[in-house]
Amino acid sequence: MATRVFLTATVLVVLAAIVTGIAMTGRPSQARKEKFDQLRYRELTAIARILHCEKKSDTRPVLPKELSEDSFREYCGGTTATADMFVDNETGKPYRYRRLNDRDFAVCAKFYDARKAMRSRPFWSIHTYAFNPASGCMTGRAY
Amino acid sequence: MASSDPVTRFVHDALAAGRSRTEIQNALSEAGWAKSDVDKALSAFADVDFTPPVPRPRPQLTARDVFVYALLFTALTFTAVYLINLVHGILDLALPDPADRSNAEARAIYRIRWAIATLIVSTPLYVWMTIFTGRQNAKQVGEKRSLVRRWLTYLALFASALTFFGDITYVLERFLEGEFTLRFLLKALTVGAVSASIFFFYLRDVEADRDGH
Repeated sequence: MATRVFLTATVLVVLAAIVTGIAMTGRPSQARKEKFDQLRYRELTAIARILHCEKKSDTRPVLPKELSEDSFREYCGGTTATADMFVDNETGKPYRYRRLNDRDFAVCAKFYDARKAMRSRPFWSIHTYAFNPASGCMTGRAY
Repeated sequence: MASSDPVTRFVHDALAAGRSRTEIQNALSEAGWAKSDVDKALSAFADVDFTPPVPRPRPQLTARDVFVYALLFTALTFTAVYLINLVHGILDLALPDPADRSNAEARAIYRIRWAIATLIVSTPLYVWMTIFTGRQNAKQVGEKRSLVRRWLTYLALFASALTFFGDITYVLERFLEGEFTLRFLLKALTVGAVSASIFFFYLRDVEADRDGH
């Protein structure tokens, strides 16, 4: 009898905790969206890092006209990128790249929840480029 | 008889030499052996007039018992640990601490999902194993039943103690890192409630076992 009460209570408490947990963290479909958002944030960061061009060379880098493997090979004394890095993994569309002038750039993506993607980055990742969750754009400047 | 227990060996030799049970009892008592030890050693042999002494069958834990109970208590430990983890994760999200790191939310979500996955596996396994072993034990009689139950109980108490030590250490570490908020209190309460309910549920079994003797 006591065993039945204990087991029933265990099952009820665990079920209640699981339901609460799922309600608070979102269903798997929601989790998938977050995962794509995190990937977007990471890829924008990676692109911005390359465009920022930390290598110190005598000639000032001139931002490429477009994002492509070829343009990156010639940029900043030679950098490596793969084509899939420029493409949104969910939609298959390329990220928007805006060249404001020879030095200033913006790379943008369409996020479900950009603020959340931003918050999920490790606390130690501090960059020298700016992310605007309202526009979904990462802006920066080649050195 | 190949017994490593000196009292049992003595009882065997004395019975073989034709001594009565009362004589053996007195001799052992005078030598300082506890009554329970003496009774246990005497009960190892059937009370029949036959030489050499006839041993009674003795209950033993089989490899199968070990498998079943090891699985049962692993499932119990995982259920307890991850139930606590899940509630802690929910508390982290529900009562965010301004002193938390910026990615605390993401870490809490990760923790919650991991805990849910574990519980979906471990809880049904634990419930099913408990019902299964309960039915098996109901078929067993006398000493075998109490032997298994004793092992079951002490393993459960061990699991519960491990849960308590591990989780209370974690909660206290958070406290020392400055989490002295309502959330800390609720987390500590969760650890206490889960450990205590396991502890008392299985302690009841020890008591029942003692009454049975």
